[in-house]
Amino acid sequence: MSKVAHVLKETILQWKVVFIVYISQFFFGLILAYSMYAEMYTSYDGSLALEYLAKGFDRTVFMDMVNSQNEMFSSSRGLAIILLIVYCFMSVLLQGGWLYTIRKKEFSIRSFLRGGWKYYFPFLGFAGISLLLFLLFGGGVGYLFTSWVGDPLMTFSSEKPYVLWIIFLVCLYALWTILVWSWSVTARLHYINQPSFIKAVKLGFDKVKQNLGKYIAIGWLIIGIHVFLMFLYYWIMGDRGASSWYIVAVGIIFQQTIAYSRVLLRGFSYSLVEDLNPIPTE
Amino acid sequence: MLKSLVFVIVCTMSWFTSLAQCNTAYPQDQSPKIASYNIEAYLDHDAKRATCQQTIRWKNTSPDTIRELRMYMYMNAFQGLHTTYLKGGDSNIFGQDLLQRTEKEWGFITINSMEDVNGNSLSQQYVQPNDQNPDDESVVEIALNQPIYPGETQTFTLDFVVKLPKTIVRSGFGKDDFFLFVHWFPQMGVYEQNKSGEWAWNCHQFMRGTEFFADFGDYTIKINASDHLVIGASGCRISEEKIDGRQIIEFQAHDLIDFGWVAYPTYDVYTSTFMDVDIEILMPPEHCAFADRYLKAVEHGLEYLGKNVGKYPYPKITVVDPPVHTLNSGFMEYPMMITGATFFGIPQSVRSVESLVIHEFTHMYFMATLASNEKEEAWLDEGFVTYYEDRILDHYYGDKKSLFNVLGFTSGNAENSRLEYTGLPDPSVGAIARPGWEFRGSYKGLIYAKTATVLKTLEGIVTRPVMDDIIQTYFEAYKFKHPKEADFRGIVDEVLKKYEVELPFDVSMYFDQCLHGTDICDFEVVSIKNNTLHVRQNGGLIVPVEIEIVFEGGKKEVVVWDGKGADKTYSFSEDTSIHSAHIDPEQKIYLDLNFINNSKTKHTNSKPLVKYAAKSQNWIQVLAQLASYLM
Repeated sequence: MSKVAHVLKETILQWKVVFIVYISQFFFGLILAYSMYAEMYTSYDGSLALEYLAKGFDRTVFMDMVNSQNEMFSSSRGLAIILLIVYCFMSVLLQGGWLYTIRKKEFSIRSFLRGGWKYYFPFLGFAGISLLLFLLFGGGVGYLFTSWVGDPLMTFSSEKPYVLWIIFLVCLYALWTILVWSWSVTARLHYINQPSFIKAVKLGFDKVKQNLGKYIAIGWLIIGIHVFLMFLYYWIMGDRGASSWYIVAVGIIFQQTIAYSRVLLRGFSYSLVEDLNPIPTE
Repeated sequence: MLKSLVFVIVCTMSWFTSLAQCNTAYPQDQSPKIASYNIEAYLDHDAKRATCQQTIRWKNTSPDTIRELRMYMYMNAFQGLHTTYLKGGDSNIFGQDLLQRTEKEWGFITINSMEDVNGNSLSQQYVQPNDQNPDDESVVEIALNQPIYPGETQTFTLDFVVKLPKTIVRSGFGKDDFFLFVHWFPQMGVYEQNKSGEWAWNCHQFMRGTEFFADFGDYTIKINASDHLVIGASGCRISEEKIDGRQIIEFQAHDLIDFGWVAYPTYDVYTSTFMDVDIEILMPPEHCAFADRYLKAVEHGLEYLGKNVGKYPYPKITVVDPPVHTLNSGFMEYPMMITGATFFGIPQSVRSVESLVIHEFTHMYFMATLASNEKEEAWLDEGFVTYYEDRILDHYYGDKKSLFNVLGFTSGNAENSRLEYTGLPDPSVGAIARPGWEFRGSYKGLIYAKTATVLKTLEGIVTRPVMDDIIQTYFEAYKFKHPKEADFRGIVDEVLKKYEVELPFDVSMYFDQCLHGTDICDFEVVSIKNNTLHVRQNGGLIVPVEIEIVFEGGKKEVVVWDGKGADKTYSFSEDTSIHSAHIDPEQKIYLDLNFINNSKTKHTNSKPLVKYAAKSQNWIQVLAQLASYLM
């Protein structure tokens, strides 16, 4: 219990770093939001159809726009993809600084920036290995499943086992994600102490093996809270419409509170992993 | 959400009982009974074939002396890729590569012998009235030894064998002894007057985009099958016995145009009675959680159509849910029997299940009872059915959320039908009123969705009570007959005259444009300048439309534009300038391809724009966070 309290306390201490990460995500989102706003404004061109949208989601209004202004969505889709790719590279930087502050117990912005620059390229290597492991496993499982089952809807007597198989594979993939992520964070934490890439990679695997149960528990906890936050968002917000600026503002504030909580949760997960990997004494 | 999840996984049904018997008190003499059938079928489930003895009683209601008969031999469409049904098309149909088929996976039907009432053997030859494809054997012509004179009825006996294909579409066999026998017996074509007034056989080859056209009659079908199979069928179960591992079940039905049956070992049977109609639902065990949804959907159909169209004319309806490996057997209607389709785990808030069942059930009115020619005028059936499917779903589940309502994303069924039409790559791709085989793509978007939208637009103009009267009059006048487009249009004229409805447009031209033309409808407010309003019709459809003008200060004025001419400019003598203009604010002209450009205001409501822009921002934040875990 005291360990959890310690981790929570440490998470709170990270608020400046969490805020920087949150703001960076916020601004990336804002670029798309601005582009969407401008394009929708032009497309709706003073239409009273917006009054329907003000009452809540209206598929007719959306689809009439898609049918008549399809190019608008393709340009926004393209922008969103570019933003995400750029953010992925930036994310390595943010993660480097973040893990550095946790490892060094220095939660200042200066430490964050120092760590981020210092470990960017080695951490890019860890990120590359992580992505490779995700893709290989995903591709491998997918290939084996489809080659074994063939056309699943014709192979099985009922779709029930097929659906259960899919659920099982999703869980399996989530488990794999937990393991790869655990390794990735652990290896990076160790790299900060002893900057040998190979050793960090090996140590990462060893530590995950040693504390497998704890890592898996942390992973499922984080996934569970994320899913909970998503449902909380839809449960509370549903589709409240936009009949007044007050409702719009409340919606945006709630949305951003959830977004901030998600980032805070990542800080919490890093602290939990760090707690499993204390700095080795000389 | 949790409740919904639990429902789809756990069966809540507890009302399955013994197999249904019909209420025999229903009227059994509703149709002219031109073609009636007695068939005894012996099913060899290993060989996927049935050996049958058939008696046909056919009445000549024409003024001609008939010297040859024509019959549908539907199952021969599945003999191989050379048939008209499969030839020239993609060899990959419904996800199956037909080139990989083995001999056992094809189907056929063969008449081994046919005799008239005097025991004369009758000769037969395959004919190809549509495309002269010599390899197509889906229509057979029987030369009679003894002609059939006007008003005379003759009886014929046949021995035939029908071998089911592995299901390509509708009929066929599937894994684990699943059999669907539809379009399965030699069935009489229709001897009727053609468009030029001449009497002739209307018996088309089996082609894609076509379904039914047959005469009404009585059916007595005796099925002899292994007793491990659970059997359901059109009609009522009259008798049942079991001998040496076989079961012999006799079904009877009156005033039908066709008869289908299904067999599958693991079916659970659920029965209920609603408004004096027996409902029998055959579900594979994995779909048991959907039985209640199927039942409710049928009940909604019975109630709504009974009130707004006419009384359901049969004592029973059988609902068959195909297992997933024969999903191609689903999505269809047969008289007194429909096939649904569902998938384990579909939540209650996604009403594709209800939508489909209600659609197929509505065919009991527009197909089974109003037996229009589905091969030549499919819109008279599918379009009307879709119109009522929309009305029923929207009535029971809400206008804008009847089809799905998931996490704030909603859609109504009528809304969905309109979008299926307006979302076509080219909504003016072709006319609706064409034979099914002439369609290349866009079949559903035009036949189903556009027709339903045409009818909803008509309803918007004439009002719903008048529309209900039109359909009720049409149903009463043409039930158990073969109505055509002219018959429906005649009823529309008749009813509108009765109400002395003064329409600001020509309804006949409306039908001509919508059914035979390709004109689209797209009203637009082009500009507002002080007291001047400029509107435009970007399509060619001529329909009257209301325009609501709101002036600064709040004063409203409604003008009706007759829709003639591409452009129209209105100048108002008000002191204040126009604040906003809205063409068709009640969305009565549902055919309009784009409602967004129907209006303009000086003061854009930017609140929803900000809200949805913020939502798009949130999505990027979510994805960025997810990507951070993976990097």
